[in-house]
Amino acid sequence: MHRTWELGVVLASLALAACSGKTPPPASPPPTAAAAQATVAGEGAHLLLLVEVGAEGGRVLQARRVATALPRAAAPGRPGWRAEVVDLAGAVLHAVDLAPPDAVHGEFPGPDGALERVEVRRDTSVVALRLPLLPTAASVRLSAAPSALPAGDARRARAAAGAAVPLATVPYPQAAP
Amino acid sequence: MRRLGLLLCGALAAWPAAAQTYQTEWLTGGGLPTATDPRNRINLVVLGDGYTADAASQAELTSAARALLTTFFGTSPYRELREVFTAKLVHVVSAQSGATNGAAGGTRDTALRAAFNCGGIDRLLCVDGSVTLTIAAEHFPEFTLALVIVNDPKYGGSGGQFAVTSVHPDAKWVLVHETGHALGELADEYSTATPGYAPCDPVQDCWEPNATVRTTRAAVKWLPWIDAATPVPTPAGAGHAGVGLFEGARYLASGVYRPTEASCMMRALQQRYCRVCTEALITSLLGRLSLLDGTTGPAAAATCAPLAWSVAPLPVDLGTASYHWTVDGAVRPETGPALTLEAGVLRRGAHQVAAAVEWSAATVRRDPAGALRATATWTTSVEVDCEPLTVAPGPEAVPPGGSRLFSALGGSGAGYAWSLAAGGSGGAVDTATGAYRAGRIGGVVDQLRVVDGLGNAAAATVQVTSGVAVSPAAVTVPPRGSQAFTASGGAGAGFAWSLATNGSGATLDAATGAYRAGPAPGASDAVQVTDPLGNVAIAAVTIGPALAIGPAEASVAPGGTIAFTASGGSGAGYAWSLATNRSGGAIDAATGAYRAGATGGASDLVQVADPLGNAATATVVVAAGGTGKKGGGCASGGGGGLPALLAVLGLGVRRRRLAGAPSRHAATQSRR
Repeated sequence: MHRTWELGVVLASLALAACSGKTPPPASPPPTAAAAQATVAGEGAHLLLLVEVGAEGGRVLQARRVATALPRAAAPGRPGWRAEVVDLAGAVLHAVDLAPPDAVHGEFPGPDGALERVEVRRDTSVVALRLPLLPTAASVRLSAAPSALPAGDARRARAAAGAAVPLATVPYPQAAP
Repeated sequence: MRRLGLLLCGALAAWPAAAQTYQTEWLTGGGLPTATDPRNRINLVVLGDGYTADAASQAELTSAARALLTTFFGTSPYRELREVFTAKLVHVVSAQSGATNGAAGGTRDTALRAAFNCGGIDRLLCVDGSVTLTIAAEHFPEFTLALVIVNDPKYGGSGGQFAVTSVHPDAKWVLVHETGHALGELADEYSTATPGYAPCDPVQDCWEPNATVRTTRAAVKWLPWIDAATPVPTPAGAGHAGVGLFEGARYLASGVYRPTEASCMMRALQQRYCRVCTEALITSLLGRLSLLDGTTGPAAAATCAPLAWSVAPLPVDLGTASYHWTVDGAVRPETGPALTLEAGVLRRGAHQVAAAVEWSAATVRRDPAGALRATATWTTSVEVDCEPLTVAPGPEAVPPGGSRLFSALGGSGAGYAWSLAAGGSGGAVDTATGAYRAGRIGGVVDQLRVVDGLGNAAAATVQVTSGVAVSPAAVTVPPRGSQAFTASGGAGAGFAWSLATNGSGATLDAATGAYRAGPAPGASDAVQVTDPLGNVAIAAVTIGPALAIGPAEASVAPGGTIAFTASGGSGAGYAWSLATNRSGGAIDAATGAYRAGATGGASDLVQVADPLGNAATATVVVAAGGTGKKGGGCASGGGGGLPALLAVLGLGVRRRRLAGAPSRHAATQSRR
């Protein structure tokens, strides 16, 4: 399947104009004689949200508007964490899969020279979420596949069998937290 | 929408306190990426921990970061994809150097709180994730992956949300390995047990591109890399050095398979990435980006200016990019990154222009998501009908020095500017009028180009015919001989002939080229022909040798004979005669056979003439008393005696030696 170059103007350009204290520019006049319109990949804006997640829920460490287009996610399908942007009605506006951010691993040569993997789970972890700028977004829900949590994790026990384990919900920064 | 922007402004300004600000620097050049624009790039942010505020410590951080990235970008496929990365170093300042539980032992006060013995594992080196990512976000909010260099010589590191390495010389390989996980979603290929690690789903298969539980050939996800002769599964230790299906991966010794037996970074440090992992890294990295860095193309055209579209692919070193353009679904012949259509190609209305770009990389055989393919599409509204710019007359044949007046039609209708795009003949064109004159070099093609006031361009081809040629180009002619010259090429008619050089005293008909050499033997003439366009050709004429008689002098007894021969001149048709005949001799007019008369003490003069009017003579002294003693020539008959015999034998004998008296008629006979 071919990827299609997107020529649309990104929503966030208006937000950028607002941040600069200027009103959005009027619509451009019709292009004149064969005037070339240039597009540059990666132009746009997105939201970077750092969320610290612990056993008691999550908190936003930082929310930042980033002046590049929302990066494409890596190949989905990895069993791990999931972030969903939802509106006030609970409808999912955007979702992204994440590697479990609480897992820290090391891989070191053992006595025989073969690599060995070690892993520890942090009680508190931080996840860097890159999200689209969504005017109707209300909150961000973080959940995990049961298999992505340590076997003894109490949150895993509280979830319905096979269902995603809710980890935290933080406000989408439409307003000050 | 403005409300959203304002809300974001307020929200971001009021968000939790920002981290401390540190100096940053781009890590570029010397084998590292050159770009610093984070748009459409994989952005690495490198943070140091355990580096103090003094300049020397921060310089060490720069050196360590550059060394780390030099290893990283020296590893394929990061090397080939280097320019899709940026790298920024954040000079995080710590109160103390080293790391907690590091080489020096004890607790160290560092900005990112780096500590060995993380989770009770001695070599596991952890940092505070919240602090690390907050600083990374503050200083390089576009970052894709954060790398932390901990200023401690103890071996260790970690992976996860970000990669951490100490400055131990071998620890950098741990980091390169970890980027295989972070950037390529690669599985570990070693078999050492890791209890508790989630196994692959037997139905869905492993989600990583380099691990599988499938054992039938057709189901192996990296099948395009397995040679037909390689058994599947592939036995270990059987000498299969390439890609196969080797059992043992993902912390299990059985039931999970990997692509290579031992030669992969994901199984053992300091190895290369195997072909399957290399492919996965390439498609994963490029899959995060737009394969096209930019595009240009018009949305509308309100005049007859040419229309241009172009695409700029990512700067990767993977192979060859191919471009396929279509306009309204029709394939265009252009195969480069740009398409230009002159006025009149598109009629009034909306047109769909598309460019399909595809990289052909030997390192990628499987690209189901199309990471190496992209299309760009435009809808261009043409608002005016235009006539295409054309040149009249069309292709022309012009002799050297010839001229044509070209004219342009259509396009902008005015402001035409002419030029010679290719002028092999040495010709010229008037920039304003299109008046063209071919140069003197024939047998070449000139290419005229006209550009109208809006930039449309059209071309005309001019075949400059061959120049004037003369035939024969070089010839040898006897004195007074004639030669007909002919001319061809050039203007084709109206040739004028002349003698550029006249060493022989020749004559030449200026109209016909009929040439007659002069009498001077061995001279050189040059016959020149000129056409009305000033094209010139020259034929070289060499005048042959003079008519000569042999022997030139001879003595003979009365009644003796001499066989005269002639050479030179016309070469044939010689006529012999006796210009002076005091001996009463005779000569055969056709053969030159001479017989002296009976009167001795006299001399005869033998003459030969050719049909061209050339003549030569020889003197024959007829000896007195019929002794022939004065004879020195090729004589025979009565009185020939010894001289005649020697002459027949080819031995020259001077009369003086025989007769004891000098004679100016003495001749030397040479053997023929």
